[in-house]
Amino acid sequence: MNLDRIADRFAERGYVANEDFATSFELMLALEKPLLIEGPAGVGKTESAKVLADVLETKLIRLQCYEGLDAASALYEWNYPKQLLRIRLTENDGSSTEVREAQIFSESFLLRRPLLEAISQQRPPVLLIDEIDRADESFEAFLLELLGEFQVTIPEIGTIRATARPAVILTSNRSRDLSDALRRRCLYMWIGYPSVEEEIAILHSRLPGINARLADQIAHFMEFLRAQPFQKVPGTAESLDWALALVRLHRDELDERTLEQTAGCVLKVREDWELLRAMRGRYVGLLGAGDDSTIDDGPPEPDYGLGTVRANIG
Amino acid sequence: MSEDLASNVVAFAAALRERHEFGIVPGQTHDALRALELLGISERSRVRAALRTVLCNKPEEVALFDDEFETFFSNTPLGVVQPHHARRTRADANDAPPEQSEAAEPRPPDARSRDDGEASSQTGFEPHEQSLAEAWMSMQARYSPAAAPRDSATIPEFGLDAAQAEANRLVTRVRLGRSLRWTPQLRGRRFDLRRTLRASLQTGGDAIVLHRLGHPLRNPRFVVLLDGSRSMEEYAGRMLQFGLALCRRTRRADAFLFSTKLRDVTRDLREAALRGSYKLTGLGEAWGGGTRIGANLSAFVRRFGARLTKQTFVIIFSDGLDVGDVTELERAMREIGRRTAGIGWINPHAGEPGYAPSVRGMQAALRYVDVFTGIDDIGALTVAGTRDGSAA
Repeated sequence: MNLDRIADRFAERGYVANEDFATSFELMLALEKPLLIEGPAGVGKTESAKVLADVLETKLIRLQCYEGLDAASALYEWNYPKQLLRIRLTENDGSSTEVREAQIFSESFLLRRPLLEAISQQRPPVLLIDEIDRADESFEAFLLELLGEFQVTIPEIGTIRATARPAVILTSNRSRDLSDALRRRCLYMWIGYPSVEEEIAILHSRLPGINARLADQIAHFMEFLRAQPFQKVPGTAESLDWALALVRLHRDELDERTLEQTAGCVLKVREDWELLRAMRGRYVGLLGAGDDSTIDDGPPEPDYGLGTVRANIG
Repeated sequence: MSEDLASNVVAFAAALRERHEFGIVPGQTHDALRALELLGISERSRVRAALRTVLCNKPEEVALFDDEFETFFSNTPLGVVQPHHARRTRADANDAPPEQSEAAEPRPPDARSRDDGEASSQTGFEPHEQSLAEAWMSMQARYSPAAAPRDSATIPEFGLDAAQAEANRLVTRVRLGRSLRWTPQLRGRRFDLRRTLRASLQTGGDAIVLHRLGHPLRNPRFVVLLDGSRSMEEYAGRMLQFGLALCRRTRRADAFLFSTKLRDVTRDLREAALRGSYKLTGLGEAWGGGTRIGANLSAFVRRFGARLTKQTFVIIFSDGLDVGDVTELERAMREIGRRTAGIGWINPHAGEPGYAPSVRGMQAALRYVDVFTGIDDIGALTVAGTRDGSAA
């Protein structure tokens, strides 16, 4: 699939993909390598995998990582009740231990967990390994064989190779550093916060009916917010929530009162609210005056200097 | 594919590897060539995006990559051999003195962000903080010329073994409750079907030996924040030894050095330990300048906030002499305390007879500190683990 088609097909599904993004996805599909996506929370990392599955018209197999996740719940497990039953049934048929072991440790006694499921599909699925940084370090080691060779080795059976190579997307919020071994097996992409233009495009694409001026105001206000030292910096998910709330409340512009009523959509920590209130003087310029006053096209250039935290790297 | 293009890409990967310490493996260079074969080289921005996807492994590398791409492929078409870079072989680079490769580093991060108005997080400071920091720096330069930041630090080898023993003790003793993993345990809560079944094969399917699973004690993650300011100079050796020892002992440790700026030195310490040459270079303003604990801690919370989890034990190694804003320090400490399992503070003066934490910054911070100890009694930090660990 070529670049423009990827960007277009993502756009059809309401996901605004820039050139870098489309290139990374195209390479992932062409080189058949896993793609590791990092970035702040709420910028659409997980969403991108869902949309990709939709674009490729294939199944999305999702593995949500958590502390304590182990091979038994991610890769495979033996069907113990079935095994026990078989042992009982063959108790007196006089077969040797080896034969019986081979029987109960064959594929029909295997429970397939998401990772094994993903490599035994006829049609290549999209495999999303979400928030890999939440799993323990030791779990990364389980993944290496799968990500590098698209195969899984089960001691009792042998190696199971992928029937069709899935498109693998891993996401990380960087709560810990991932091992080099894992990183080397993946292509890498960083998704930062969108620029004002991109954010406006996202708002329009997700909420087709949105008032152009409101979208503009929201995008600029989000840019302002992301440059502030908040504890929880709002992502694109928050601005979409916010925009949806404002649309539902039938507001066509963002004024101070509306902001106070709906700030909970974007700022989710009490201290952040207080900080925002203390900064009133700096953001009033971004808001509408309330009633019928009009703002000339484009809000004033914000004066917070260094710009956005768009490249919030390192 | 033209040979020129191939050798250019190989030389580019080599440049990234040598000048910016990218961990590019041959397979990645191969992928880079495949990627260009697929996408073509007609559009510069696409080539850059493709090479970035293949050759970068970490977020820090993305900005370095873009810089290097611009300089390496400046003006010349991609397929044409670039005399300067094509000549640059591995042997050349190895012969070059280390100073040269440092000089070849791109602009310092703060210069970058000022240039193109991007990424305040690069510097770790917000605009107003930036100007404060600058004011402080210039003031420093005026009043104490010797306080200009130095760039490299040497970790003394004497006493390293003792520091290692201390770090080992800390890593093995501090336990923060139970992990959520299941491991074989004699008196675990859960029945281990897999092992029981295996064992039952020997007894004709009768489960005589029962195996159980339980949650093991949780290994904490450590975050050490090391104060690299001038006032800590006397203790810097032991402080860095501690950081090095901890990072060498466990992968579950991250070390940060701060003075006027904050810097992640985990990888530097691990590499120093691997090479056996105990020298840290390229520290910039994270070393040997003034102290702004509050600003650095809040920069830490903002940039590395994801590292603060309920499994994390934070150790701050500082004398608490802060010239910055006390409320900022307090806010950062409260936030760190709220998100982590505990905070330990090692103050080199704490062990001195008659010491009382009277410094303003220290007083503000102390409210959120679980264990406060001196440099000779780092072992005291292990009591942090008994809070939850003993109950388990």
